[in-house]
Amino acid sequence: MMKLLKYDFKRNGAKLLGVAVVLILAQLSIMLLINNITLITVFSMLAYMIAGVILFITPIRTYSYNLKAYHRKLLPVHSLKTIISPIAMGFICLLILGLIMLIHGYVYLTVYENTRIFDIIKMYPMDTIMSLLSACWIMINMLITIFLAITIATSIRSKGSFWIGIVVFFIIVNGLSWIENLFFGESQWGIFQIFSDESNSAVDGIVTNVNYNPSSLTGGMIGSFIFELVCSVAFLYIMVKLIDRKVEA
Amino acid sequence: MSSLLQMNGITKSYGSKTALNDVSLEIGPGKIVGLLGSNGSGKSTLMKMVTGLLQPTRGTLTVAGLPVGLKSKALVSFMPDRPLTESWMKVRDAITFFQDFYDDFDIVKAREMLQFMKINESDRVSVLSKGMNERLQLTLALSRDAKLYLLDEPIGGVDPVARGKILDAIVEYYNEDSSIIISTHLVRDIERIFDEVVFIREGEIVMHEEVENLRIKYGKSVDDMFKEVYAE
Repeated sequence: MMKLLKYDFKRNGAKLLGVAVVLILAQLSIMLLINNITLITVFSMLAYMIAGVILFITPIRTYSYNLKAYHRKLLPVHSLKTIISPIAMGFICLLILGLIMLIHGYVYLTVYENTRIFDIIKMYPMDTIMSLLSACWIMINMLITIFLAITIATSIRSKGSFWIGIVVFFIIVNGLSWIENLFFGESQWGIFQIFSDESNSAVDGIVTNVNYNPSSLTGGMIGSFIFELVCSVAFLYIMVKLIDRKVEA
Repeated sequence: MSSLLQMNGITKSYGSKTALNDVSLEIGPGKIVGLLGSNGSGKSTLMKMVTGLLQPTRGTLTVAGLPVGLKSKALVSFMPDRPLTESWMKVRDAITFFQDFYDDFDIVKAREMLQFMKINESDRVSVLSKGMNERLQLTLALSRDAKLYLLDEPIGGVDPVARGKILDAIVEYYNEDSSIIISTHLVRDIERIFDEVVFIREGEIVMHEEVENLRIKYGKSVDDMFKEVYAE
């Protein structure tokens, strides 16, 4: 798997390097040219968001390419590794971006002596960790779901397979979200609950309100996580079978 | 002697179009086999099925007794009609790629072949001419100690000098315990190296014969026979 990962990184090396350079230049420009703190925060977050979107799309494009590339299809490598490698690449890239963002945020908050957010983190350390883990899981889960839609679309040899893939993606996301709500109610965890999060936070660096109910962590939240984990494993199984039997180069 | 490639009743359909129709074929070890047919006759489809790039609609297919899959991929070396390299690669990256993934890749043989083919390891794959690229792809495919080599149109679209060089390389560097299947419609240039020929037309095998028998039985060269079979 590491060898596949190495070549996925090498193929995308120029693009990843480009994103890093542009992001650094953008952040430097924002810091040096803008005086308004709110604007600095907004533009900084925007730059990170754009970089994040590019880094999120990169493994999707890589997976899509690998599914059709002769030199990848011919390798005596288990199909599961073909799926895991771009996920790992995307995860590593976004993790690095997230760490840079956190360090940047820490420096920014320290410089501007805005310690309120540190107080909240100190007050809810477990919640902070759970939020970060949840973000990681959402990303992995989302990539697996998108990959499944791509694999299904690629395994259909007809016009309009791209649109079939898109429809499949929304059916999976909404269908599973509905089932999850049915079983676990309003418990929050991963991808299928992402759009119904009730936590409030302000973008100007000051968290105004966090509605968090610690009791949900032990019950529905764990159930929700296990449900999503089982779904993801099932998706991986379906993808492996499709790649081995249906996806043709 | 057990067969290296066994195809039984292989059919490949795309909707109403049939690319291969009930193809049965057996290839033993130590042979250079010409898979001959006009454009669109099903040569590439047949090869892609042996390598696992395409799945048969019906029929069974084994390589060295193994069904096509993960294990058979390690035994088959394929030079397809499109590059096995990526645009960012230099020649040495392509060599390392093969070395990384194929246990049977012979780096000494690869370097020797690169010298023979006059390819520089530091060259970028994207700047190689079509002929040089074909030479590189052939180098990558033949540098493996595979049981079965499949070369899809290895001399298509290259000049006569490159053709000669490529054919010399095939004869010089292929592993004699294994077999090679070479698909082409440029019969005259390549017939000298064949032990057997398989004629394929409209997805069906119309003849599978040893070249020597062809000469004795029909008194014809492969090229003459090809013209007769594919006369319109």
